[in-house]
Amino acid sequence: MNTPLFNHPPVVQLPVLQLPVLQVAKRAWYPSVALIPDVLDDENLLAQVRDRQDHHAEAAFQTLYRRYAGAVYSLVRRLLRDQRDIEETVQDVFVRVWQRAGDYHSMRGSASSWILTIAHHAAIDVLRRNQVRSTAPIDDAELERSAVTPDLSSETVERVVIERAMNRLDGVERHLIELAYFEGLSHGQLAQRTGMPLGTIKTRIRQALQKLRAELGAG
Amino acid sequence: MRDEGKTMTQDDPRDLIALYALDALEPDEARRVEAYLERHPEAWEELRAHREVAARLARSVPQVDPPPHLEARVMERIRALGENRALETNPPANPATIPFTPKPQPKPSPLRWIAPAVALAASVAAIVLAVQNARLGAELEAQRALGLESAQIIAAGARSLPMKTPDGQAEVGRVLVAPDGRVLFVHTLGAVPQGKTWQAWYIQASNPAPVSLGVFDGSSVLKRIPDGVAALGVSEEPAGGSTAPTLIRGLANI
Repeated sequence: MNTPLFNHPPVVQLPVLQLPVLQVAKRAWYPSVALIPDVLDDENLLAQVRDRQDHHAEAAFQTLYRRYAGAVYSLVRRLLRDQRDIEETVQDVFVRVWQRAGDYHSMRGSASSWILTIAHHAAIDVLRRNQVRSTAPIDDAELERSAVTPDLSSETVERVVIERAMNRLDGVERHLIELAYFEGLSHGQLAQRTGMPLGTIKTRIRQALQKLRAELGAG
Repeated sequence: MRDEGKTMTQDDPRDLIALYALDALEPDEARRVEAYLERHPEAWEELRAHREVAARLARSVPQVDPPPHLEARVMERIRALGENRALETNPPANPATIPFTPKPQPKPSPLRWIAPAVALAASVAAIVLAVQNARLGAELEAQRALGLESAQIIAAGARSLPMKTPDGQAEVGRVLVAPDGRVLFVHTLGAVPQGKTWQAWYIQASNPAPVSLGVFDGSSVLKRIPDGVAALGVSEEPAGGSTAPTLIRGLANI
C-alpha cells in the first residue's frame, strides 16, 4: 500500500491561509481556521492532544473538532431525538476524545473510526438509558437523490458508495445492520424484533460486516 | 434486557466481536469481549476491521452542521479539565474547600491574545471569500456536468478506492475506477494554492514512470486510463503542470 511509486519525496506544506472553494460557505462560521494547521492528519493531531503541550494541544483538538463535529453531530442526531440530549452527547464525545487521546493507538484503527466509535457508543448509552428510540428512518429517497446530485463533494460520493455496498447485502443482513447500528438494538433485542435465533444473528451480522468490508475496501 | 432462557456465558467472546463493534451487546457481554481482547491481542485485527466499516456507516448519515455554540461549549469544558488537572497535581491544604464542578463557569482564557488575530483572519477570509465566490458559480456549473457523468460510472460498477497521503497515514480522497477505464478523482485537499495546479497521474505496472492525465483545479476530475494501471495519484504543481510529479498529495493503488 505504501510502495513508493514516485521518485520525489513527499513534502508537507503548512499554508497560512487555505480555504477550499466549495467549502467556503461552511468555513465562514470558523474564521480562525486560517490559524490552525489543518493539513495535519488526524493521527498527528491526536498525538498533539495527547502530549498536552499548551496551546498546541488545544489548537490540534479544535481542528479535530471542526473536522468531526459534523459527522459526530449527524450520527448522534440520527440515534437520539431530544435536542438537549444530542448536544450534551456531542459535547461528551469530544471531551472523551480530549481525555482519552492517550488511549488511541493507530494499530487498533484509524483516528476516524476511533472518534466515531466513541460517538456511537455514547449515543447508544443515552438511547438505552432513556429507553426512547429515534423513529427517524434512514431517508432512502435522500440517498437515492444524492447519487445524482450536482454537488460532487467527497461526502456525497462516500454516501453513494456506502449505500451501494449496503444494497449488495441481502435483505436480512441489511436489516440487521440498520437495526443494530442505526436503531441501537442489542443482541437480545434483535432476536426479539426479528424472531431469529441469537446464534443466527451473530453469524449474519459478522457476515454482513465482512461483505461491507470487502465491498468498501475498508481497513 | 436479557433474552429469556439464554445463557450468555455460553457465547464464545470471539463470536461477539462483530456485535461489539456495533455496540449491540449488553454491558456484561461487552465486558467479556473486552477481557477477551486483553488476553488475545490478535483478535484486535477483526475488531479493527469491523470498526472501520462501522465508521463508514456513520459517515453515510447525511451530514447536518452542528449548532455553532457547541464548539465554544466543548472548548470551555476541556479548558476546565485542564484547570482541574492543575489542582490535582498541586493539592491544596484542605481539599474539602475546593468544590468539584464538572462544568464550571468560564474563566478568563489564557488565549485572549488570539482574539485580535482571529478578527484579522476573519477580515482576510472575507476578502478571499468574495474573490472565491466569483469562481464558485463557474465551479458549480462544471460540477453539475461532472456530477451527471460521475453518477453514470458509479452505476456502471466503479470500484471506490482510497487515496492516501504518501506516508499512507491519512485518507485525502477517493478514486472511482470504472471497468471501461473512466476514473473519477475526488479529493479533500481543499483549494489549490495560488499559482499552483492539481495534476493527475497514473503509473502502469510495466513502467514506473508516472504519466500525466492533465491538470485541474477543482476537488474532482474525470479522466480515462489505459489497461494495466497499477496506481493513481494527485500532485501539486506549478501553474501549467509538470513533466514529473513535484509534490505528491494523494496516492491510490488499484
